[in-house]
Amino acid sequence: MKNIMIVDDATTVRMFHKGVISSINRHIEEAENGVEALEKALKAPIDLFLVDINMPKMDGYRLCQEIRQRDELRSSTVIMISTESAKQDEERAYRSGANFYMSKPVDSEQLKVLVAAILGDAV
Amino acid sequence: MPLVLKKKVAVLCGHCEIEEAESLFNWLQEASGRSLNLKELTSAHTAIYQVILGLQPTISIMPEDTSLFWFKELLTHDSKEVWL
Amino acid sequence: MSELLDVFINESRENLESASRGLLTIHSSSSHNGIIDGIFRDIHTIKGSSDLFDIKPLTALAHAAEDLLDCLRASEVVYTEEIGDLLLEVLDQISSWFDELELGTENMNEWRPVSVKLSDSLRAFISANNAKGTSDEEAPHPDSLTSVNVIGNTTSESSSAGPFNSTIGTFTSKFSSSSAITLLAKTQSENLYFIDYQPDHDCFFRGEDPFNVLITMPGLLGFKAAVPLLTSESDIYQSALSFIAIGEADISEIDSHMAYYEGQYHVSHISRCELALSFAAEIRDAVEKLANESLLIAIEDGELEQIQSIAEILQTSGNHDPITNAVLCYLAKGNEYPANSPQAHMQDSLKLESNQLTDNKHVKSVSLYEVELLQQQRKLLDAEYYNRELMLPSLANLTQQLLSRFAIECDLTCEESIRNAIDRALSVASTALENSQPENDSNSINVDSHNRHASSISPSEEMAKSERHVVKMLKVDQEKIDYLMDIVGELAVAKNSLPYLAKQAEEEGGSKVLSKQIKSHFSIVNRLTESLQSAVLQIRMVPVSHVFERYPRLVRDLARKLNKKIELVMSGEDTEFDKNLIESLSEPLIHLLRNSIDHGIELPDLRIQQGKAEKGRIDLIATPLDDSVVIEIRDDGKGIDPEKLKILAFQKGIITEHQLETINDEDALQLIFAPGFSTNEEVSDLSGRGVGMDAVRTMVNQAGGKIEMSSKLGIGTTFKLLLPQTMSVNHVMMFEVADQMFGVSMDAVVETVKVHRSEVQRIRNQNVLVIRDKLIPLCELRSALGFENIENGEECSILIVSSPTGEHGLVIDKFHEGIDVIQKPLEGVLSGYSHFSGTALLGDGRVMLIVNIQEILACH
Repeated sequence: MKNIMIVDDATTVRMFHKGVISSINRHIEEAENGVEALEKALKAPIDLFLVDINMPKMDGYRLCQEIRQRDELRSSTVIMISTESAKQDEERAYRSGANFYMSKPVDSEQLKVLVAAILGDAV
Repeated sequence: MPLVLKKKVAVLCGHCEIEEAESLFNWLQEASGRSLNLKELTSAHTAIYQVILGLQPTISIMPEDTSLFWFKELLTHDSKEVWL
Repeated sequence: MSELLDVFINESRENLESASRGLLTIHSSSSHNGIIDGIFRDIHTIKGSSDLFDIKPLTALAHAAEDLLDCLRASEVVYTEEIGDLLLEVLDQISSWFDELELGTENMNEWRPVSVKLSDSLRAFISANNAKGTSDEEAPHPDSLTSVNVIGNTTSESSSAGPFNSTIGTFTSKFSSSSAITLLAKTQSENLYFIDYQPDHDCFFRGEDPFNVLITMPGLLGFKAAVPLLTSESDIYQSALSFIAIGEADISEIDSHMAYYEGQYHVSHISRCELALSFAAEIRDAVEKLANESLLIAIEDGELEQIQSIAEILQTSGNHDPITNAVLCYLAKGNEYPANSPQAHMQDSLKLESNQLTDNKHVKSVSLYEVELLQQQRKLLDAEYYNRELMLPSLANLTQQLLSRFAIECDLTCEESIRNAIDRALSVASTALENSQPENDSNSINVDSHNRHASSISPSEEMAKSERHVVKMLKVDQEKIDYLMDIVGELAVAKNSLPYLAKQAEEEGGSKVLSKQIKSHFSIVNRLTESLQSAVLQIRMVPVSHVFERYPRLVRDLARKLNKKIELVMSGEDTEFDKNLIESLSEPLIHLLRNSIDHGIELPDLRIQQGKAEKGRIDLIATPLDDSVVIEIRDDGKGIDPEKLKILAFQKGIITEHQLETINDEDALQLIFAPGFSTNEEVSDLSGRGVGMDAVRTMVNQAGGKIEMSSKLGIGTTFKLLLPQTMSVNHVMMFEVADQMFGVSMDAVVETVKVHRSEVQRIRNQNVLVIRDKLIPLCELRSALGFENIENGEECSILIVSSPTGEHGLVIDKFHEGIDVIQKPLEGVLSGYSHFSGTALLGDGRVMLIVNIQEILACH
């Protein structure tokens, strides 16, 4: 069973992403912001984070850094998703510790396959 | 002479070099309603193209040289997209 | 309507409301920034979420609003009321689009021009402030492009954008769809390149001649040039140009051609079949839109030559839009019509024959995404900001996962070995790529981020039932709560038969023990049911702010229209109210508000003359009182003139001359509630339309409440409404008239009597009954309710009820027992019938009308 955490302040977007990557052998958690994400993440090991950059309270960059500070989370894969597609955002994402960067809107097929590639479980 | 500046028309002929760019630029600014005769133009330095495309003056006669087909396209269409 | 769209609309409506509130508070507060930031976030969310659906005009409009708000919060643009109004207008527009989406009546063709117009208006505010010119050193070039690694090819200055911003994505965002299709039409070569060339500003001084470099590019097929307009201040010896171009040639050829211009360009390979796949859908769409019979048939039959000739003919005839033209050109050149292959979007795998892998003869399916991921991790290892502590654990973990599919082992603690392992894996993968033939269906990557709309609404259909996570709040469909209420109501009625059954058990069954047991269980069930009832009623309680929050806007707009300055001050907004009843509360309030604005508050000049503040004030206060809510609307307007009222009432025949003389001011004011009364001669089109105070009072009464008014001339007017907070459980007495069941509130019932016909007397044209020296006027309910009068039997069943006007007797057909019901107010069409105060659901599913005694009696 793989654990995935989707972090985005828009319910619609979370629902969309969740729908795309939902599968019987995956458990998907949702969080509205970085603070909530960290709280929930501590309960079970997370294999993959899908993190939106623009969020209130704690933005994606901060969250990523926080994830990397924690022993139980630092080897998790982090995909950063951004509404902008500026170069600076991308580099900043990687500097914060992301493994991958995508810009919105995310093509559902691509996301599906990408997540499958990362988790190695069947699509 | 590659560039001949008359009262209302400037005639470009053969190859126009970067040196002519300034005169052309000033001439076009001096009075309104001036136009360009590009009939005999065969080639030019980028600076010349830049001036013409940048000031968008009236072109009284388009270049006839086939190698300037692209320039003609740029002059006649709004979207600066050219297919060769 | 799909679930995702549902969630989107609900969430976005909340965002809209929050944004509206924000805009309205900006007026009253001096510090804007926090508020503007909040509004920006709301719009940003709407924009982002809307992008998941194929509603581009809405997304575009939100985008324009977002841009303006961004400038506002960065203080690049100063906030004005004009901007505020425009933003409110935009919010309204988006809201009405949501309405259409809910009904399924949305029409993009209608939305588009509206979106464009509003977007332009919004952006006008931005450019107005940018007239001073921001970066004029910057040449306007196509957005900074970065070339991207499509597997196997590295560019000279490569730094990838995210893998999904592929070359194709970049290409199409710079050129257009029709350009892409034109390119497909122009060449069959797989060896395509895409170059972004941005000459340095001072390249002329180095003797460079960019345009000519461009024109002589090997294999050039087409280009786009960004040429800025010059002003008298421009330095013509500075190059301000930039180009993007496509052509057919090896990258190496390009690199040699551009040898002197290193650092000023980026070039990368475009796969033609990738491109073709990316635009397959657009090509199909264009053909479908054309709706040309012969072409469609030829396509279906797969007749390539036919398709070619028809396309040629169509190209020359008729005026087509650029895309259609490009598509026709494409087909005319004999290119294959892209078949509708569901595989086109799916993950594609390469079968790898690997003798380089540790396991012999392993045939592995490797996703191209795995390759992308590996490449990215590799890049991170080499990045200048690489930080072991921050990045190694996840990098190693992910790499390990990916490499296991290549059956490559590596020591993950050492960067060097990770690098080597990735390199090995990548070389295996790229060899396989080179060896495979580019075919349409398999082996191609669709990395185009533009080809979304085919899949935009389908994710919701593909979605499995997702377990929704309960965080702190639960969002529940109102229908579900209503259904729950109904069942609880039925349960309440059903439990009532238990005492009767207990009696039966004792009398007919002869079992006293059983009877006792039933009775004791009944009291348990009864208690539980009552708790259940009140619990469910509690769920439906919502704060009145739900209704109140529309009012500031309403007041603002109305006041504007009338050129009045009015401030609405609300308090007690978190007083709770039953969700169903809240609408019944809203209507009278809106009328009262309108009246205050229209007739109550005076024009600013007049107010100043009278020594009042220029801005009129309306207070809206909600306070709980037992299980009711008191709502007060107070204005400091001109008040109501009892004299005027008296005279008007007399003129309208509402009071007699005698009353005119004798009536005191207090009572005169109450005349305002009299039916058919309007204090304003010219019915203002805002609050007029025949809605007088009597209609308001009826509404309030219907909802089970009361309304009072007090007013002082020149000072102001106050309305007080008392409304029941919940739909309580009512004890009603059932009775039958003309074979139909009706109910009347048990509180009003004094007694029930059955009398002989002869006892009914007639005094002054009215039937009365004398009981214990009381004179009870009678009302034939049959006729009062509009049924036919039939010949009565010997006996009369009379329900004696008490009302504000004393005791009355209702003549009915049959008595029935009293029951507990949950009374629902009348809705919709029926709400105008003042005879009834509500309905109740009986245990057997029948609907029973509950009689409003006052109204029935008043009509007789």
